[in-house]
Amino acid sequence: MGIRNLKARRIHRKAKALWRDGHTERAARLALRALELVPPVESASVARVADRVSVLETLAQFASDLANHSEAQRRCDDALVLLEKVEPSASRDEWCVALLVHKGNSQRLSARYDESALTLAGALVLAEQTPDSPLLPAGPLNALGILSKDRGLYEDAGIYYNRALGLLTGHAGTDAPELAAIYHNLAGLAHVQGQFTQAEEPARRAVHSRRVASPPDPAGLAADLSVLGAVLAGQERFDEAAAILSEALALWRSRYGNRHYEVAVQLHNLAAIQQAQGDYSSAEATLGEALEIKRGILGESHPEIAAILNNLATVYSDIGRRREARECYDHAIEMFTQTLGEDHPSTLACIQNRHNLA
Amino acid sequence: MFRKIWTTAVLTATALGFAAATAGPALAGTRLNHCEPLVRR
Repeated sequence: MGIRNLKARRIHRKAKALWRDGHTERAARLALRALELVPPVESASVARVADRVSVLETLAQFASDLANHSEAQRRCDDALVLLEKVEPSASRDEWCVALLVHKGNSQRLSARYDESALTLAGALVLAEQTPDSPLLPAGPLNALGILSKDRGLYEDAGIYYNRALGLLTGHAGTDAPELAAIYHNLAGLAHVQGQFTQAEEPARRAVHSRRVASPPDPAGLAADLSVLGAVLAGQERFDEAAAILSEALALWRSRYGNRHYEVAVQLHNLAAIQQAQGDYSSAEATLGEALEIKRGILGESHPEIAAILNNLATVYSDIGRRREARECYDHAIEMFTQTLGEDHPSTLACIQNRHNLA
Repeated sequence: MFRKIWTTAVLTATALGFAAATAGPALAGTRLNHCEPLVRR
């Protein structure tokens, strides 16, 4: 067993390096080979399952990076099944928390909010019980913040983020690279509430932390640039926003090609700028491209699809194509209601938009 | 003798590898939200 495990680790390390450098298909093939070398064993010892759990975690991360959330969840579940049989210990519990956070996040991104809430609540409980790991609750707290934000529970989101921030600054200091993600998320929370001025400082802090991080984190930087661009667009600083979003878009395209989830996010933000600047035909085309990419990844019924339809409706409304605007609004309202509920801020905003059209 | 050295080497490497394998992302802040616009009229 020892030799196979050593070989698996070597291949696993290579897979992660390849993924970091953007060779995603080769990386995935190698990771699967590493998995084959370490078949599942039932054991009470973390050491005996560690290699397989580690590879499963990596495969879950690869799947998440490609927005394949159901596969990410499956890999997390496979890893959790192995760890369930292991004797409780700090390292086992830390690993379970990380996997539960990953699983909960995958559920959130699939708009399975109730399941996500349960998974993340479990992660937080476990994290708070794990001795000698004072920073461990920060992961679940941060994830619960994002979930709350997506559900329209903005006050709860702020509480979760600030708890995570307090934990991290208290134990790891104000310059800890992990803070970049919390600042990023705080910026996102302000953005969704239309507080674009307040959003700028945390967005810039996230970008700064990420730029000086070692080792470099180009995907994290692209994500932070994306938020900053969205925030500047909200402030109607369109030229600055477009430049930053274009930089983020180029980073994502070079890493994942033209049909990736993150590409769609940037396109959606760029379309809003085009619309605000009166370039409606470009806005319509860009929204169409974002919609097609997202439908391919998220399916036909998802709040993010509804958001694009809402925005497309506003473009149609701006250029007098009222029938198409009504159709898009009606479709968006139905989707928002089904996925987020009738009281969600996005649902209410879309209904108001529809009302204002008539 | 050689077998003993080899076995010790494998066990040591295994132990070190295990330490690396379990150093998972215990810390937080790896999840990021996404900002997308919802245009209001």
